[in-house]
Amino acid sequence: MPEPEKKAALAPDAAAARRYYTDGLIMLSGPVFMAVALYRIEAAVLIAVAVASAVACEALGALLLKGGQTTVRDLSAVFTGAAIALMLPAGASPLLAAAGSVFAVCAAKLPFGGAMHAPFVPAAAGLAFLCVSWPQKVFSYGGVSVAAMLQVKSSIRLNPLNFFDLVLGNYPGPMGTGCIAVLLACSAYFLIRRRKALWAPLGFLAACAAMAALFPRVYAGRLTSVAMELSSGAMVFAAVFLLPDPASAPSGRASGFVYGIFAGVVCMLLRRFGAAEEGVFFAVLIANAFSAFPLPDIAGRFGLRGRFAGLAGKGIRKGGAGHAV
Amino acid sequence: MPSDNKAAERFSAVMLNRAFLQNPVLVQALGLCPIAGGAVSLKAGLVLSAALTAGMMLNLLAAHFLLKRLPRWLRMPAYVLVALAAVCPAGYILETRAESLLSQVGIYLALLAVSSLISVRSEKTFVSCPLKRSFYVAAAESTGYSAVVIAVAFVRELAGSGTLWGRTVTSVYFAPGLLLPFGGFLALGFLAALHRGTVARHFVLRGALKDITFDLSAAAEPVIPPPAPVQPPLPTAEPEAPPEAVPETAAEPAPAREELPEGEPGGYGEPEQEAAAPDEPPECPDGPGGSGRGFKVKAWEPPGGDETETAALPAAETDNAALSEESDADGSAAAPEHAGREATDAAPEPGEGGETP
Amino acid sequence: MSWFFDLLSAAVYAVFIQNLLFSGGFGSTEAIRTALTPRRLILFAGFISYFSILTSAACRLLDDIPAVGALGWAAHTAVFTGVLTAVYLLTACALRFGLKASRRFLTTAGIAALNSLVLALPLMNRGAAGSLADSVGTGLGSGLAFILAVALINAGLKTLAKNKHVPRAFRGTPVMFVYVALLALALSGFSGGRFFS
Repeated sequence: MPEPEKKAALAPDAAAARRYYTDGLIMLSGPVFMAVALYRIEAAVLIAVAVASAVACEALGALLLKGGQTTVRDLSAVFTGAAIALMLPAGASPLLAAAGSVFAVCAAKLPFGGAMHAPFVPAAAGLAFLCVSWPQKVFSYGGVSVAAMLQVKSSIRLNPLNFFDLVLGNYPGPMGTGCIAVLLACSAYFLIRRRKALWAPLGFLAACAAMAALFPRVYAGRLTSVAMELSSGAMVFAAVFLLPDPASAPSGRASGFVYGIFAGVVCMLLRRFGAAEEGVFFAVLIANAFSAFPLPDIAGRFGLRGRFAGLAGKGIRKGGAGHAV
Repeated sequence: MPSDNKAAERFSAVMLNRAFLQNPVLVQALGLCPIAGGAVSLKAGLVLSAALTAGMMLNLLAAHFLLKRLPRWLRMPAYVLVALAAVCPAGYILETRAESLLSQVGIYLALLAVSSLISVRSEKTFVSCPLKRSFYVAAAESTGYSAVVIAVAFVRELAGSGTLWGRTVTSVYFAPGLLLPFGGFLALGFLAALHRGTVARHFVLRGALKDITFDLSAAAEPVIPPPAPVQPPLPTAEPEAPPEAVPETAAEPAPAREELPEGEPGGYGEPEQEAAAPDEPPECPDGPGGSGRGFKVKAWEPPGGDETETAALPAAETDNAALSEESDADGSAAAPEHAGREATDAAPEPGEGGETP
Repeated sequence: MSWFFDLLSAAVYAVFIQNLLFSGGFGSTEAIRTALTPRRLILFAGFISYFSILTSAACRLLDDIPAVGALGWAAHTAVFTGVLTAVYLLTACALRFGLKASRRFLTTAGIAALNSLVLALPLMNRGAAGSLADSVGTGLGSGLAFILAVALINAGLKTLAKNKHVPRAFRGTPVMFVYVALLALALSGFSGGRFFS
């Protein structure tokens, strides 16, 4: 009598994805804790609904698409749902969070075979969909956010008190992205677990800071402009949690840094010329689209391969799991 | 009457193949612009589908009776002007009777005049094929296109506006973003997935689904299983005859399926006919099998001109003749997939002028 | 000088702010099919720009004639399509009889001229009451928008071709449509909506 089959272990791709998203969820625990501490039951409901919607869609998709892999166990749906909820205002309707999660999973993940093979970051796609469908609801915070102030060229006076308010997220904004201190502390996790993934966020924030300093939208000084731009909206959150997505971001350090710079420039252009006060979600998607172009082998062309092999861009995404994870 | 039955069978086979299996939108990706941008409500979808059907039929008549003698570069604008004869009256009627609907459809109704579906079908089929066959093809492809337009319009109106036929269904559960063109492409994607799953499940043995247009990888897992080898019929007159003496009724190697000419954007060209007299209409390329074309995929050329060529699909695999419109309609025949046209072509019907196999 | 800046801003607008293909779906069939065989992309896009500029400018000048400007929707469509056809015929005659162009070259020109992207521009410019500089600028931008769209779609298709995990139901055209949808969503960040119709 043949032995009953044991539950199949995760495929290597799925195992790598699970490792990545487990790390992501550990990093997300900080913003989740802050959001629930500040907004209590509203935040908890929003996060729960978003996560449940994402997981349910993923499970249903795995059932219907019999040729596709089952990716519920890799926790990518949990990560996507939580990230979407944290980028929404605390007073948003749970239906909004559910809609974003459903779109993220059904349109940006399932057709491509899972999060580790999706060319676009699902959470960014979900938020972008919400932005074009319900812009008023996505950006209504019950007060004037820093991003809205920047849009109307209104600035704050940058004294230590206001600076700490900015860093701790004491201004209206998305419920999980305001506390920059927590986000930066969470990003320290990168240094421990995935150092290579840090280059894209660094490039992104460097480009945003440079654009804010060179082309300020407010007239209170370049430092104030940089502080306001970096602390407004979901910029740091997107840099830490969306940009280093292993399926869509380049794997090399130099290419990752360039990718981050490109996304940062596009983000600042969208903030200045775009329709909405926050354009980081669209910037991530545009960067994902352009990252499909093959980069030239810069190191090889200049004879640096071997000497600076670690710095050279090795081209863009390799089509899925197995790199930068 | 047997001939009526055969004609009905042939029409139903053409309809099945052209409208469904080789749907002009979901498989061939033709006529996308009005669907992506204009099909935002059921009424708009009906208007677009009616206008396209009228344009298709007018082009059928014009191409068959008038335009054959013109060179291709003159036929192309003629198709546009003929389609305009369907678009302008539709626009005028809407302008005088339903201006709100005209503003909904907008310029996408006007853009039907330059619809790629009408141009491609006119050039490939209406000009060269017999009238009856052309009519079957026009009816089938119009039906297929209209079905997709209406389905997309239905979904987008319901999910994007919360209304149906202008009447409110829900005031809460709708996403206005789906009315944007990206919503149209998304609806097309899911509809195409539903179509592909259905076709692959029920028609896989017949080798009917050849999503060859966008099958970019030679290593991609084939949807259709490899064919059974074709057994030539045994010679009856001379049992000792060597295999080479098999009578001519046996399968002959089919001519290589037309491939997309290199560098012909849009896939409208026919390079094999460069050698022929340039002003003669092309031969009817549509055998009984289908209408799809194989696309040779070229990698994107970086500015340095370093072109790498991805593997082209084998010529036989690009042949969509596996589903024969002449074969039995009940689908019991499992036509060999890679046997080319010879396995599925029937003899030209007498009186039709003989279609090119 | 303001004429030049109007032209430039209209071109940039047509390429990036409201990419004609992704924000309006214009020319999407041609873009998708060209993305598979992009060898003659520059020539094709050049033809698109050429025909767009001439058609848009001619239609804009015709609209200044009161008798033409007062025409209804149907008549305007007929006039604009007639202008496009005339521009194509004149160009084709010059190519055919003057330069002895091959059939393939003429076919390329024909497809580049007689598509929804080129015809949409004069109709859109009329709706937006654009100036002549706007018309020329959007015409110029149409070719660049086409190149950008084809490049993005081609790069994406190559990535999708390497992805063996795409579910069966989505392989081929379906996943391509979804990819184009997400590209369109990404580029809608600037405009937030679609073109006027």
